[in-house]
Amino acid sequence: MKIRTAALAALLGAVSGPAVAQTPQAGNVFNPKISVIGDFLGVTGHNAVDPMPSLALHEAELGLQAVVDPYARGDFFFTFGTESGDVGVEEAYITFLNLPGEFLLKAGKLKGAFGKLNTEHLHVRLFADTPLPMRNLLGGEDGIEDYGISVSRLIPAPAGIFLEATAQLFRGTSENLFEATSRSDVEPLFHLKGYGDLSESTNLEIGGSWTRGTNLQGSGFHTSVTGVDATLRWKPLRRGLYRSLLVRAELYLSDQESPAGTAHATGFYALAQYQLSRRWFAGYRHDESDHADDPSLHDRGDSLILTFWPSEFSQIRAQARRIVYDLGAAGTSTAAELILQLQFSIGAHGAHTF
Amino acid sequence: MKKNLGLAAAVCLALAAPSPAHAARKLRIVTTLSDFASLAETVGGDRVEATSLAKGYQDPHFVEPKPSFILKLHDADLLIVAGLELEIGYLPPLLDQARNNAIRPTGKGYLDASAGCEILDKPAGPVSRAMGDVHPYGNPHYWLDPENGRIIARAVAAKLSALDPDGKAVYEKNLAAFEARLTEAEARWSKAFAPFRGAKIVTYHSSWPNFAKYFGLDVVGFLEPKPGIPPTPQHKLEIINLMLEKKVPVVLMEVYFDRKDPDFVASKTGAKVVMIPPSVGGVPEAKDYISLFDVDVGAIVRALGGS
Repeated sequence: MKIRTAALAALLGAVSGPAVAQTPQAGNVFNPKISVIGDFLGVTGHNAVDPMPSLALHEAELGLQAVVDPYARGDFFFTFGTESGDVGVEEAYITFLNLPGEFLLKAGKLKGAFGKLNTEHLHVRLFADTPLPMRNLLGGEDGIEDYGISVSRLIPAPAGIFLEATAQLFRGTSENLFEATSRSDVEPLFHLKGYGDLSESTNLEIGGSWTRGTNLQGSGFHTSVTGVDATLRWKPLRRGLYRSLLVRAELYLSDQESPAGTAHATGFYALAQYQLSRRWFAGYRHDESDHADDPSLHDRGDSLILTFWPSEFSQIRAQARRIVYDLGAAGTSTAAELILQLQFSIGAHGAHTF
Repeated sequence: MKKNLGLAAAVCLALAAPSPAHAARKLRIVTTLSDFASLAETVGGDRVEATSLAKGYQDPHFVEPKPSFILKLHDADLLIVAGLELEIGYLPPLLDQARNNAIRPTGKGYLDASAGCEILDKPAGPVSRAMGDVHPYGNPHYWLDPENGRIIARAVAAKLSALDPDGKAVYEKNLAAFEARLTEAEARWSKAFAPFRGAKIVTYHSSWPNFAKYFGLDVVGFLEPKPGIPPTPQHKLEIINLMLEKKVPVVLMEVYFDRKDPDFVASKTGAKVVMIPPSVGGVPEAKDYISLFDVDVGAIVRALGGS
């Protein structure tokens, strides 16, 4: 009997592999958190100036995030865009979470800490398009996104006010905005964030930003941009699942140097989003912006936005927008479009900063 | 140019300012849930001050990661969390910005309250989001079992003694007093529930399995068709039929849900809607861990026909 049992066990062992205990596969246990977020856009209507394709997977964002070692974490976000070959690194950085002196340091490819919109990955935005001030004054959809180092620190402040100062140094190359032609063309960026709870349901954040880099005119010509942002949030805790309001405004002031002189351009957007019920949100946004190189040209836009969240992991959004593009001597061009956006995420994408 | 230098200098000065001092006579405890803060205060007495990020009347899954919480975490000596991914939606970015190594999961000032507790609803097979907003490590509402509360209190006492050895005797004395009061309270709750053991209930969200198991209630269905999905018309009909078939007398819901659907279902079945706080502070009367159960047990027993 014993021999038969042993033989049977040996046979089973031979069939199922070496007799090892059930352990998690050591190779996988340190795998990063993996997430993928798809952003699908359908657009209909008329836009002669800045048309989007009728249907597109606007972006798929692949996120890989993990702890590097006891000192740091690593975050990588790759974006795959509409056109074939359109692969980019949105952000890829190491974060040292608590250096001596309570500095938090990030290094890598980063979104610049300029205002609020510039820091948001596309899928976090409360609308499906890019507001005019970002398009005109910060270089386009991606805004300030560059290689650099970022240092931030909490500043002691009274009465429970949160105050954080961030200082960044970038290479100085950001699509359509800055282009470093030599190693000395680095771009400093400063941001001060102040936040306070007005009550348990309401809070206010105010920020100031400033950056300066060599612009597309070449070495010796700089663009500096100053930004102010304010965000008011209301979310009554007991009804928080069903009701909330966000009001945000950002103002950008751009000074662009060129052989012809310095162009002072201004742009802003104001957004309000109201939560109608557990899964429905209604929003309105107004944009206005000069052109960075010719402040006499002034674009205006308005959007109505309706968003439905089937679950926390997907969104369906409809945005009706009307933009009046200023073409100067050629007059204006009015665009009226309906954008349908579907966003869906798989995997373990964590929460973003507030 | 001068303006830029001035601004740069101001920012440098601001960055160089000294950071707030950590030294505090009392141990500063931050918890995610108000129940843990209550237990921490009970065990810690006046050697500690405890505050929770979530209020007892808000849904603990959906807490906003406000920067004011970063300040609290920055100054904390101990962080107590529920674990089981209850806080996954908001805590990680707060911890990443808190500049406080001690309260990170690997630090000495971190306590996962689920360790040692009885955890229910651990998924048996593969897990996917087709199941809704499922908790892959088990149901995180485990603090609603008084015996888990006892285990959490003991863990808190041990942790406080490790962080503050001088206070060990005080913590053990407070723990013993709490355990005695808990035992006495458990006897009175058992007595109140005795006529109703086995009573069938429907709950809004699957957040009462530990409570139901301890008090002998039978949860036969949920108003949410899947966790995190609000009640659909079809599902409400199914629940109404289930409640009529099984003669379910009570629909149990938390104070942070909307009563419209529970009231509708109750009106079609003759059941009573019981809206109770799941956490300390959820209503003013639930001012600590034991009185939370006094409120909840009382409300359910009254609805079932007791007094």
